[in-house]
Amino acid sequence: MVSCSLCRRERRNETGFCGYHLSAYENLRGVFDEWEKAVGVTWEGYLKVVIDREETGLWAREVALYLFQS
Amino acid sequence: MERTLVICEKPSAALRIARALDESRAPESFNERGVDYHVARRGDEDLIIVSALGHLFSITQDEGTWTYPVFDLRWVPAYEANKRMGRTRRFIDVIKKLSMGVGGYVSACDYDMEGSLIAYMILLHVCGEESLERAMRMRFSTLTEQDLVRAWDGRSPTLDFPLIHAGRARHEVDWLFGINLTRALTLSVKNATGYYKTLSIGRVQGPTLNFIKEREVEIRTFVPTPYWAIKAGTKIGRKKYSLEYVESRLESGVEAERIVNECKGKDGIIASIDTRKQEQWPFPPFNLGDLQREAYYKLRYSPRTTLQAAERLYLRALISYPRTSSQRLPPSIDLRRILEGLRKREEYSELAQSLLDRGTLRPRQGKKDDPAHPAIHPTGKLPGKLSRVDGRIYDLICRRFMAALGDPAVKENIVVEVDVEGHIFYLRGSQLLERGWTRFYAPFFRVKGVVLPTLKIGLRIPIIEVNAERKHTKPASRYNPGSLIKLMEDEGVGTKATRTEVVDTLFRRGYAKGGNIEITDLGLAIVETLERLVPEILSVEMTRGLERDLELIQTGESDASDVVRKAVGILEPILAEFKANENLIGVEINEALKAEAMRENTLGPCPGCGTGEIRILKNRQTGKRFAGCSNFFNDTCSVSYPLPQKGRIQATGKICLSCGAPMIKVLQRRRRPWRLCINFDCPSKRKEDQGDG
Repeated sequence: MVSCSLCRRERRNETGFCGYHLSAYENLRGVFDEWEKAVGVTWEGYLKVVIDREETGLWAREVALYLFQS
Repeated sequence: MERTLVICEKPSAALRIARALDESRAPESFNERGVDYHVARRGDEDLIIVSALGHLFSITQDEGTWTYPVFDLRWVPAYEANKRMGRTRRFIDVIKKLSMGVGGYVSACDYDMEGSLIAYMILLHVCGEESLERAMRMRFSTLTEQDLVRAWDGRSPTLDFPLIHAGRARHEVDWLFGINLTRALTLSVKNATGYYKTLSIGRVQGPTLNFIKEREVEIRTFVPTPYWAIKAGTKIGRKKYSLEYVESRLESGVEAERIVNECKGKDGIIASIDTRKQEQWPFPPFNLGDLQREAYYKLRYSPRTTLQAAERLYLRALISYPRTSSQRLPPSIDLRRILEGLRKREEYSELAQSLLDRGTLRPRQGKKDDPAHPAIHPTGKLPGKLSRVDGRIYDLICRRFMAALGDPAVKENIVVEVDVEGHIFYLRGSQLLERGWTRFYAPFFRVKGVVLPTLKIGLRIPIIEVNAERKHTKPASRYNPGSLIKLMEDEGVGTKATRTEVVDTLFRRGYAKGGNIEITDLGLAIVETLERLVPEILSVEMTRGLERDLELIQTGESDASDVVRKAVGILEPILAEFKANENLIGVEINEALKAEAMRENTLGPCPGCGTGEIRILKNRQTGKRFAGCSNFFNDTCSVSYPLPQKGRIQATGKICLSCGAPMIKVLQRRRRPWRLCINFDCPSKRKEDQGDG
């Protein structure tokens, strides 16, 4: 079994994430357009803001941090 | 003189029944080996009234060892199945002795599935099978003298067998699921790792845990999005009022700023005024679920606390039977008599009188009904001294009952459309014109709303402030015990009698935690494993289907043994799958158990080295616990603290502002939680000492 890049769960596809982190990744990708339209932010800027927001879910924050650092 | 054995469910109910049925209201009471029983004289009969202690019989494995699958079961005295039920032996012995030579039997247990089954099992196993043919059934919803005498006079000539068969099948199905799945989970960890911990799952527990898990996933994968809300303010006369922009959310900050700039310092013109009167009908009287939810939201009582209080009130004949699904008060209930009783209490006297002054009393009826019991209502009997919890629950029930008899409240809602340079804002007002039922429910009903002055179309009002506030969307809320029970009810998972216990078990097993219920890593690991290998256990459809079959037994449309056989049919492939993957399941769950234990023992970051974690450790020589840095084991940090030796220690997630050491919480039974800095020499403690001195 190949593990998720962020936890011990099984990796789902080429993104390197398990089901939960993949779902968080898809949510992150999915709402970027809204952020871009609302505040004209870049992808990196967006990740930084999302990491700091208290509303961001634990797994979504882990994915954002991982993407920001890589 | 003819002798009849009357079997009750609990000792306090037996005493009430004896007093009600004895013609002189003074039955003779006896005690044998710690078991109370009473002799009441009624006509030419001696009624021997004895109580059980809840279920005196329970299910056990027919034979064999602690393994799975197990499909052979038998009903045995509860003390044989569970060592902690030793007291039940004396009750069984005394009932056996009292049943000698009696002419007839009456089941006077609570009128529901459990009550019917309790009496049936006693009659079958203690009094002999032939007693079943000579047994009658009393049906009552309150323990008041009047209802009990009526129930005695109208007792049915036979036991309620459909209810008994349904109850028996439910116990057997739940036992089969519970015992097999619990053993499968527990043994998978034990066989794979040698570590023993009871891990349970059942046909209701599974879907309930899955509800919590699904919400948790939603929360943990949530990504907020920004939006802007435009708020404005105006002044009419001397008073300030808030205005809302026509669109509650704007997705663009630039757009929001433009609107704000265009409205700043301008006047608004009232374009329209919409006034509507709205009748607000009272809530129906409580069923158990509604009572538990309302007590949670209004009083912060857990569903278990509420249920226990309601049961105590029922046993004191103050309210009707609380385990009911009904939101209806049938015409057979003497509402006037209840109100006359409530009128005697000072705090309800005026309210009850105002209802009694009416010609007719028509309660608000809810949609849900229960063939066995009406909605929860007071009996009208004066309560005397009640504990704080019981008193508040009693007050809630009485007020809800009176409110259900009240008139609708009439509310006036006003929406004023204000045009500010082509941008529409709303000024909203509302006021209660007629209090109606809210008068009865006052402590639990808050009137919200803004009263607006008289306004006219075309009136100019100044915009004294306007701004765009940047906000972010929020994830779904976690379930609380009240909303989780509501969800179970809506999804048809469990029954009114079992839901509270199921939720409690999830906490007891360490699968869930907190008032806003959060799944633990162990709970998540259990769901993930089951989801992958045996998803049926988590399926709402499976348990709902079984629930439907069990209900059909009561109406005679389904056969009890067929339903039990069906449950075995569902379990067999699930358990085979478990056996085939036992090692894998065991290793995965054990990982979660270890992570959970590690988390429980970690109190916070080390203030000494900054890289280690302060953990609870044990001194190998003395066996005493202390806290030390995780870097102690690689010789890079020697920070350690003594710990209180009694109570359970929990991390608070906070650090001491004076010394940087972790703050902990010490939990001891019957004591308030003790919050303290872990550092014995913390300057904050010295300050306190000086202050005290």
